[in-house]
Amino acid sequence: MSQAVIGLVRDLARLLSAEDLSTETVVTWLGDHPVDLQRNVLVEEPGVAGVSRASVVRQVGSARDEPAHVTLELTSGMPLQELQAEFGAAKLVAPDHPGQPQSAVFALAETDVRLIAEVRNGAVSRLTLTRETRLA
Amino acid sequence: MQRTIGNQHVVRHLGRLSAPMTVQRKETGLKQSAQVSAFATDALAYFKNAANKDKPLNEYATHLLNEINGQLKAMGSEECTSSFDASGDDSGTFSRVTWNVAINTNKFSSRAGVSKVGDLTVNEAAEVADTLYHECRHSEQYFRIARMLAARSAEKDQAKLAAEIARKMTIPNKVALAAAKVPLADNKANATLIAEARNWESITIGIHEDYKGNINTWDAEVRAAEKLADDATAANLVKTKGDLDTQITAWAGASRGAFVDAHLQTTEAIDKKQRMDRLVIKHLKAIKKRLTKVNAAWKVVTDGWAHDSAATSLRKVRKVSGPLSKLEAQVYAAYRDHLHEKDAWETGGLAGAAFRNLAKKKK
Repeated sequence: MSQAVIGLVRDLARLLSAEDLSTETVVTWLGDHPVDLQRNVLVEEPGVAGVSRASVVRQVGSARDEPAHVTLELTSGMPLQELQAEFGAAKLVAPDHPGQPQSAVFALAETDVRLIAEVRNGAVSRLTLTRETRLA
Repeated sequence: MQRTIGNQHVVRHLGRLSAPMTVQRKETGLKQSAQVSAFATDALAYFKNAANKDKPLNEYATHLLNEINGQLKAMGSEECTSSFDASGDDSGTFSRVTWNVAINTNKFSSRAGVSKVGDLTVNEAAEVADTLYHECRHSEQYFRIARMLAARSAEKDQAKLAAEIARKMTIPNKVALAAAKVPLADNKANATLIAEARNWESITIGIHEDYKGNINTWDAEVRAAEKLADDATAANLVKTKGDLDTQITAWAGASRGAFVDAHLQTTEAIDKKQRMDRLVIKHLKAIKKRLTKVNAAWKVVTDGWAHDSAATSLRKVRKVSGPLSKLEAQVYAAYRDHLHEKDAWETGGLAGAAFRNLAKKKK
């Protein structure tokens, strides 16, 4: 399962690195039964392995309907170490409020995407891939 | 954070701590009275409009976020994305890492069957306004910190400067780049903005970042331990003793008791202390005292364990609940005094109060 999720992260990161990308393209890529909630589109039945639900969040202040980030809820938790083994060291960010998970932030090489893992007791159950402005 | 539960928690603690709530005299950004008033007026108008009564709750939240984003943009701050997700733990949560406010409309009311704007009570609608204003204030705080870092850096190339800020703060490149374009110079005109931002910086990404993380995760542990002691019975005594022993022993470790000692020393050594530094010292000293009392109460349990009767051991285990409760109250008070959080509570609170006051007047 972990290898499937890692493969999915790599594929999705490549997709999100594309320039003229639309929210609709990402939603279609992820699966069926989209529910448009204006600010984001939920994909209730994703067609990708290891994911029980996905959410494509729209960019704000953009003339185009482009995605800002995508959140994937995993069907089962995966150890943070497996992500670290694959994507290198993460920067850990403490939550602002009690009870919230820690964030482990990875820069994905050769993409304009960051991977953010929500970590509780060493296990990751939710991943977010953010499209980043290129600074070089 | 989930504000309904959050506020109940505050009420529970205010009685025990009687911590004064101080509001700064010169308000900034979203906290200014004109901003609060404009937001509350707009929010109430939407809520009261008969045409909106049958709209789903996410449309109410979207409307409020559009209003707040409009204010942030007009003030030269950075807008937030937002997302709706019924699996979220809280009614609203801002993350600086994604620059997103995650919203769970199922948490807008504790009553069953609330799915439309017209189902909300005035208090619930005000609480939603409070929460979203609170969460967006966090984005304003982090953006101001980023602007302050931009002014402080020696880097002249805007893209490199943005990369430096993004790396230091773990915020999106887009936000860092926006901040790099509007550095906040440390001068007399910006004195109030800078003074606030320095305190926010130290607790979020600066010297007290680990303190913030440790306090925020410790509170739940102490509450769980308190519950274990409260729920101890003759039937679960041995297991409860084992679980409490594991937990209380762990509190001597690097992120708890040892951290309290080390960070107290580090903070006391700061030459020119800011408000946040003084609060950290105050809370660490108080936590240290209360942790000592927990340890002392626990020693009574463990010292007598081999020869005490089961009834005596049970009584002693339950008695640890008192010191644990006091430790929890102090750890929670420390969280409430994280100055970025305190400021956001105040800012959201102003919006919620303005909403309620306007609603009363319009009756």
